[in-house]
Amino acid sequence: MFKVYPDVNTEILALKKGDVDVIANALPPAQVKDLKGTKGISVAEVPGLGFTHMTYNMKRKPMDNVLVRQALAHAVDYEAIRAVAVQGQAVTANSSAITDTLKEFANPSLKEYSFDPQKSKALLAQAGVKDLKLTMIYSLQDPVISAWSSMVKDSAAKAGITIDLKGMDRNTYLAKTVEGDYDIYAGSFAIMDEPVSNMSLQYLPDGAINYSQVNDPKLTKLIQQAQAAVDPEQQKTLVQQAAAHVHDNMIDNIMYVQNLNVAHSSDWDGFVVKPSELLSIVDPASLANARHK
Amino acid sequence: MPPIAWFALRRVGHGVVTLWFAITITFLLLRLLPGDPATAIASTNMDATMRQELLTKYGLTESLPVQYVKYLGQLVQGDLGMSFSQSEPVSTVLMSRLPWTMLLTGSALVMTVVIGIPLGVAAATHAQGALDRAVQVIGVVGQSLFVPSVGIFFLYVLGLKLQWFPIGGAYDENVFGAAWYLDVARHLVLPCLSLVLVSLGSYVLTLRSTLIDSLGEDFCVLAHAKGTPERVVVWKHGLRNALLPTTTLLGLQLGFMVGGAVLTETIFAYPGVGREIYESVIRLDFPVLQGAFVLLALTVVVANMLTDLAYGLLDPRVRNA
Repeated sequence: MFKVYPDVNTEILALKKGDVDVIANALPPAQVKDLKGTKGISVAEVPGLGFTHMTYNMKRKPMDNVLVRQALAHAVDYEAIRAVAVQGQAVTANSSAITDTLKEFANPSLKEYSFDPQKSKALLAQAGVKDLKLTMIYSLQDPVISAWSSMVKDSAAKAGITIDLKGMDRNTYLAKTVEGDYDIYAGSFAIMDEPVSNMSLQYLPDGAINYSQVNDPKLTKLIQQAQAAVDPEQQKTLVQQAAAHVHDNMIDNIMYVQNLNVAHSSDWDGFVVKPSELLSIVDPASLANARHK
Repeated sequence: MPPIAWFALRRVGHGVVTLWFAITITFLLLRLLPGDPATAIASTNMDATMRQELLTKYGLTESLPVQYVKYLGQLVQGDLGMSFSQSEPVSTVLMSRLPWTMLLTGSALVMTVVIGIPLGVAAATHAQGALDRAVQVIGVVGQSLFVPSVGIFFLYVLGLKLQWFPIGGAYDENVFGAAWYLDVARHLVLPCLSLVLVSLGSYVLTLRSTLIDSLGEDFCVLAHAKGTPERVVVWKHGLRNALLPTTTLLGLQLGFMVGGAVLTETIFAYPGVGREIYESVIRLDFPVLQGAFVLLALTVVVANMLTDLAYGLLDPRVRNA
């Protein structure tokens, strides 16, 4: 039987009381620690299929300059964000659009951009950019991004970059995203499970979620070749090359992969947790496998 | 026409104008928000043709004045539109939820009056005493409380720790027959208590204040001088006058409770209109939001009209003015 609780606090109380046996949705980071220490409750953790990222609008100057984008990437303290805002419940994405959750397609040579304000300053100087001021949009309905947005602003300030935070309601945020009305976009994708489709949607010029506003002929060619490839190994190579191109040119700043934490009563076991908010712990295979102890 | 009839007619007229104003504001607000509903109701993968079809389906391609006139016409026929997310008539969606909200807010209102009147009378008749001070503290604290905080507190203490009440919902799906009604009552206790605690304060403090004033008036002094028992002076003479402003307050409080029901029903997972509003905000289901706001506006306007009429019945000076 499915019970709907609009408020996460109420559903957690219901689990603790025993009114429900499992919570289907992933838990917010703030609640995980408390539940892990609760008798009678088991918490399973799996790396998510999605990621959280910032994109720099390449249709606006000076974000069309790769040096500026790289400077912005080096002005983010990724470790601090994962430790503080996500409470340690996230792993690095190696600044790659194909994360380690998709092991087959991940490019092992890609490493996360380091937090280095001095390097940022040097890159900006090299690009001839002074007093960089940008606005960043994000949805106030995302509590985790709302939590780290100020950390991004503060760390950017160390590199001499001023970021004006524009948290907004979801509809306004969606509208601005669709219109491309932002300097920096901060958001998350929950399900990035098919590398070629995802790359197409994100980085082809007419891609529906091309929030970087990128139109890069080399990247477009790589993705189109991957789309057409019939040999799996060839396709994998092309995807890895495309991911490397995105990484090296900082077309998309993939910040972290948030782990999904799902909770259930310790009276049950056998759940098979999927790394996806759409399936999570209540997909048919998981429920069929669950057993009462 | 008798004065009371004129009075009633004027109040109904005011109510209709107020309702029209609320409907118009609701209509404009939702359409002036950034972004179009097509963005909210369909995937970003949607192509331009699909987007246009969706906008046409929901009448969003026409000019604002045309949409407005059509909307008013639909409202008069009781058509609140189609829910984007549930593909059901909005009226069906809301009518299935309305009884639960009426049960919750109605119960909270009755409890507020049933508890508030004796408390207010006790405070006024023991003015400056220990009881009065205690009631004032309770009243001020109650006004300062935030419904979600109160709700979570009750769920934690009374639901989880003491296991006296269920955690959320309006009923248990495994209970049938006559036991179901008791189960509904049991699920109603905590959300109702939350609403009452937050609204009781202003009611009690207002009644206390107006009753103290009433009891100091000449007609009460005369009643005392005539040897009328204290109980009769307070409950028959003083309270009748003190109830006039508190009756008006009840109408305002109903509006507050209906709004507060959004938070209460969300915290307690209570299946009323308030929770539907919360979920429609998340889903950006504009027709449901619009319909719900119209329904809430209608409820508040009717409630205030009724309290005005009650005021007129209680106070001849008002209906003869």
